[in-house]
Amino acid sequence: MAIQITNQPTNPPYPAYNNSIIEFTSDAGTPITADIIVNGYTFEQSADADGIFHFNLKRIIEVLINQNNFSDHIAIDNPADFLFLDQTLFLDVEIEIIISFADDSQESQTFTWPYIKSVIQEGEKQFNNSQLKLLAPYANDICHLTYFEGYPFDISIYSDIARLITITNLRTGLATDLNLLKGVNRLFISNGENDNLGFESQLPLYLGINELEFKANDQIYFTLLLNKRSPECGNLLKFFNRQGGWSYWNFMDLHVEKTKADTIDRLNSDFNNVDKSRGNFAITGKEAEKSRSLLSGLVQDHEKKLISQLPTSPKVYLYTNELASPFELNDFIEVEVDGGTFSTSNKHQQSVFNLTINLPKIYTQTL
Amino acid sequence: MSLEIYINGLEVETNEDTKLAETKQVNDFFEIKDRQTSRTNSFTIPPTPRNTAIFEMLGIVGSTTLFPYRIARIDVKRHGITTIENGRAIIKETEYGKAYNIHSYDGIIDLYGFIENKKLSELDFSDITVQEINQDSWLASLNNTWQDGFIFALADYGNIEDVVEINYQVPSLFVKYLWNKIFSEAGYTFEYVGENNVFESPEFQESILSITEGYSNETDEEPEVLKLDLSKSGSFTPPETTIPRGSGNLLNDSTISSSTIHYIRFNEHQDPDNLHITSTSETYNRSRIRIKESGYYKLEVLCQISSYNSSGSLTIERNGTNLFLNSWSSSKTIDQVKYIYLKENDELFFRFTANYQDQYSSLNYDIAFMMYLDNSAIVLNFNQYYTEVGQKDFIKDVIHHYGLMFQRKGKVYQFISIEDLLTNQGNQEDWSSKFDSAISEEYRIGNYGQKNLLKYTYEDEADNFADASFRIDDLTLNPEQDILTRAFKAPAYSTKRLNNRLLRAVPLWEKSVDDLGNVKEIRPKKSKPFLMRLERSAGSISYKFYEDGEVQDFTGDIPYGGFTGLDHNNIIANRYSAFANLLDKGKKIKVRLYLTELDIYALNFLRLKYIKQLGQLFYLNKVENFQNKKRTTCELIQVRRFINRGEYNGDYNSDYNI
Repeated sequence: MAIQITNQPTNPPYPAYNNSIIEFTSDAGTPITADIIVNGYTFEQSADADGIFHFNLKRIIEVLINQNNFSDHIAIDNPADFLFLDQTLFLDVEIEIIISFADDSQESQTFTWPYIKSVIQEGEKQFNNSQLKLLAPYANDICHLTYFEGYPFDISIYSDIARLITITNLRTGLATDLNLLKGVNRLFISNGENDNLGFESQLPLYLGINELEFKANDQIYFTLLLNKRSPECGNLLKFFNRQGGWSYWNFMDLHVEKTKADTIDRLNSDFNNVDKSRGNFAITGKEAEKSRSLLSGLVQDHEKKLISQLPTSPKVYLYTNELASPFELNDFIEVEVDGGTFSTSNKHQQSVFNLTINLPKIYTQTL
Repeated sequence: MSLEIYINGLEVETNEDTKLAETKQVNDFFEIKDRQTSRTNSFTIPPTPRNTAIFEMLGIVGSTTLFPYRIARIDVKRHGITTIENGRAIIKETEYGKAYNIHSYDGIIDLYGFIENKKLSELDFSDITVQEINQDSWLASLNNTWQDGFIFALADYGNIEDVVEINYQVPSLFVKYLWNKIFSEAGYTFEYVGENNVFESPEFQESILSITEGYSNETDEEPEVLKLDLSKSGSFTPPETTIPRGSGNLLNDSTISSSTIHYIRFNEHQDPDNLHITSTSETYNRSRIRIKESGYYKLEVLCQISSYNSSGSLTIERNGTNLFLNSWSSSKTIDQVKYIYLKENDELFFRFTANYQDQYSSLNYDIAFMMYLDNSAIVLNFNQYYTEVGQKDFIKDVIHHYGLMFQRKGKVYQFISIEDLLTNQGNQEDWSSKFDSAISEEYRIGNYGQKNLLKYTYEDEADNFADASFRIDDLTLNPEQDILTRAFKAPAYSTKRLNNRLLRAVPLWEKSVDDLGNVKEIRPKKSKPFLMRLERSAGSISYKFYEDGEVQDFTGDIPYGGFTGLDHNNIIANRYSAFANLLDKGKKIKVRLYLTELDIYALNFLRLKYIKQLGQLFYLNKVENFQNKKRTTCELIQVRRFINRGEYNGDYNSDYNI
C-alpha cells in the first residue's frame, strides 16, 4: 500500500514556467482529500471519481523560485573569483502528499523535485542531458555563443550535483578545472576588464571561435563554440533567456533616442487683478520617458536565434559603464524592450536586427 | 519609488495599475451618530511571486491560507513620506493572474478595529475585584476616586429604607477609569488638543456607570463544595509565520497577524453533578460546563504552556461571550482564582487563541481546572456585568456626550471638543496657497430635521426628562428628527429621601409583594447601566449588612449617585451650541486644492483652515482621492463666527432654543 504517482513532469530539472502537473492516488483505501504541502504551504485537493488527485504546481513554483523578480544580483569583486553559484536560478522543492481516506486514516509521501527558471515551447527539442548543461538559447551538445571582449560576459551552467569539470580549449589545447556546485553556476568569462586576471588567466581565449569542451569524469557533456569578438563600443544588453540563464548581445553604438514629455497637471492661479498678474495658470511639472532604437549589426543565424529571445525576455539590462572597465551591479540598468512585432527571416545567412528599448523614467522637477 | 505599500510590515510590489487614491476623513462633521467614520480606499496590486508569497499563496486554487479572513496592517509611503500609518487592509478578491483587490481602512478605525465586538466585561478588572461585599469593603470605597475604578454611590437600587441595607447597594465603575482602561488595553494613548480639557473636567472624573444587575443575597454558611475537577494535557498547532525560503527568496521572516483558536476538551476527575458535557469524540469535541445550581462559584485555573514561543490567550467563555481573558507573552504559566456568580444553565467553555510564531512548533499545554460552589459571601466580579455593553459603544457614547472630534496620530488619539474647535479660531492654518478653484456648494447637510432630538434611555419608557433638542431654521427639512440616543439609562428621581435629599432610582432589584403588601421576594434585575454623576455631601446615615445586621452610623462625605449636568439640555448648551449654529444655514463647499505628500502627512483635521480667495474659515471635512502631483478635491464646511443666540433656560421641559 503506497501512494502511486501516475503522472508527473519528466526530464529534470523541470522548467518552472511550464505546467507541472502531478496526478496520484493510493490503493490503501478510498481517497477523499489530499493535502499537498509545497515548501510549507498547504493546498487541499479532492479526488475524482476514480480516486485520483490532479494538481498543477506551476504557479506555486513560479512564486517560490522567483522571489527576486528575475533580477541579477551577482557582481565580481575580485577578478580571480569568476565562478558563482546563483541561488536565484535553481530551487529544490519539497513536496509532501497526505491522502485522507474514507475511514479517516491517512497516508503520506515526501519527495523533492529540482526546478530551474526556464520555459520550453511546444515542439521544442529538449536538452537530453539532465546532469550538466548550458542554459543558453538552442544549446545542445554543441552550442554557439558570442563574447564581446571589453564587456562583462558569463555563461550559466546547470549541474545536478556538485562535481569537478574540466574545460579544454581545443583551439589551444589548454585546459582548466572548475568545481561546480549543485544548481546553476555562473562562469564569468569576463568582468569587463582586459587585463586577463579572470577566467582567461586560466584558460586564454583567442579572437574568433574557441572550441571549449566541458567534461566531467572523462565524459564530454557539451561543447561551447565561443566566438570572441574584438573590443568595440556599443550598447550591451544583458537579458534573461528562456533556458534560465543570462545572455548578452552588444548592439551597435549608433542609435536614435526619443524623449516624450507630458504636463502632469495645470493649476489655476487667476487670483490677482490683471495689472498685478504674471499669468493665470501654473503647471505642476512634467513627466517624461525616453526610448532608444538599436541596431544589432550583421548577425549570424545562431546569433539571430539568440537575439530573437530579447523581445520576450522578462528582464533586460542596458550596460552603462565604459568599455574595458570592471562592472558593478549598478552599471546594469533595467530597460524594457518595446512591444510590437519582430520579424526574422531565414532568407539570408546574415541579417540586421532592429530593437527599441524604453529607458528608465526621467526624473523631473515638480511641485 | 513614489508609492510604497507595506502589508504586515512587508513591502508589496506595485504596478502602473496600483492607484491608491487616499480619501481622508476622520469625522463626518454633520453626522453626529456616525461622526467617527473611516474611509475605505480600494486598490490593486499584481500577483507577483513576492506578493503571492506575502499573501501565503492566496489565489492559487487549493490554497488553505487564512489571509483573506484576517485583518492585515497597512502602511503607505509616498516619496518616503508616510501617508497611511497602521491602517487596516483586507483582501477582497483575487483576479487570477491579474490582481489582488485590497480595501484599506485608515484613520480612526484602528482603535475601533481592536475593540470591535469586545464588551466592557472583557476588560481586565483584576485590579478592582471586590472579593467580598460587606461593611468593610463598602466603607472603604466611599472615598474612592476614578483612579480606584469603582465606588458605592448611594442610590435607590430597588430596596432602600432609612437604614441603608448595604447588601442592596452596588458599586459603579468610573467612566474615566473605563475610558483609560480601554485605551491602555488596546495599546493607545489619548490627549486633548483644545483649551478646555474634558478629560480633566470634574464631570468626566465624577461620571459613573452602575453595574448591570443586582446580586443574589442568598448566602449561607456552608463551606465551599467541589463541583468539578478537570484537567487536560494536550497540544495543537498554531499557524507558522515564516515564509519559506527557497533559493533566492529575498523576503524577511515576518509575523503575520493571525491566530488559531482551540477549544479544550477536558478529562474528568470529579464531576458529582454531571456538569461536564462532552461527546464521545475526543478529537472534535469541546468541553461544555453547564451550571445546574445558581450561586457564587470559585474557579481555579492552573495552566502551563510549553514549547511555544509566541503570545496567545486562554479565555473562559460564558454563554458565548468572553468572561475572563488571560493573555500571555513571556511567562507561560497561568495561575488564577476567579469568583463569579453563575446561573442555572449558564455554559462555560475554555478557549486557547495562539498567535503566529516565528519558529513553527506545536503548542503544548497542561491545564487543571477546579470549580467550587461557595455561597458563604457575596463576591463581586465586574467581568460578570457589562456583558451587553460594547467597548466601542462606550467610546462613541463618551465622544457624543462631550461633543468630541478626534484623529489618530500613530498610537495617540487626539481629541478636541467641537466647541473648542469652532470657537477657538486662533487655532487655524492658512491654506490659501494650496487653493486652486471652487467647485460647488451643498445645502443639505446630514440627516437633520427642523427640530433635532438628543435622547436618553429610561427605566420608564414614558420618561423624557433628560432629552432635549435644538432647532435648525430650514423649512425644507422634516419637522422632527432623532439624532442621538444614549447607550445608558438616565436615572429618574426615587421617592426615597435620605438626609433631606431625594435619591436617584437605579432599579437593579425588584420587589414582589403579596396581597397584603408585604414584601415576598427581592430579586435581582438586569438593566442597561445607569449613568450617574458622583455628588458628595457631608452628612450621616445609618446602615446595616443584611436585614438582621447591626445598625451602625456613618458620618462624613457621602457619595450620592446624582445626575447634575448630564441631561441633554446642558449638553446642547455647553457642547453643541457652536455646532447647531453651524448647521443653521450651513454650507458644504467642494474645492480643488493642490496638496502634497507633506500636507497629507501633517494633515490636522482639528485645526480650521483659512482660504483667502474665498475669504472664509473652514472645517476640513474630507480629502477625496489624494494622489501625488494632482489637484485634490476637498470638502470644506464654512465656519461662521460663533454667535451665542440663546441662553440655557434651566427648564427641562422646554427645548433649548437657539
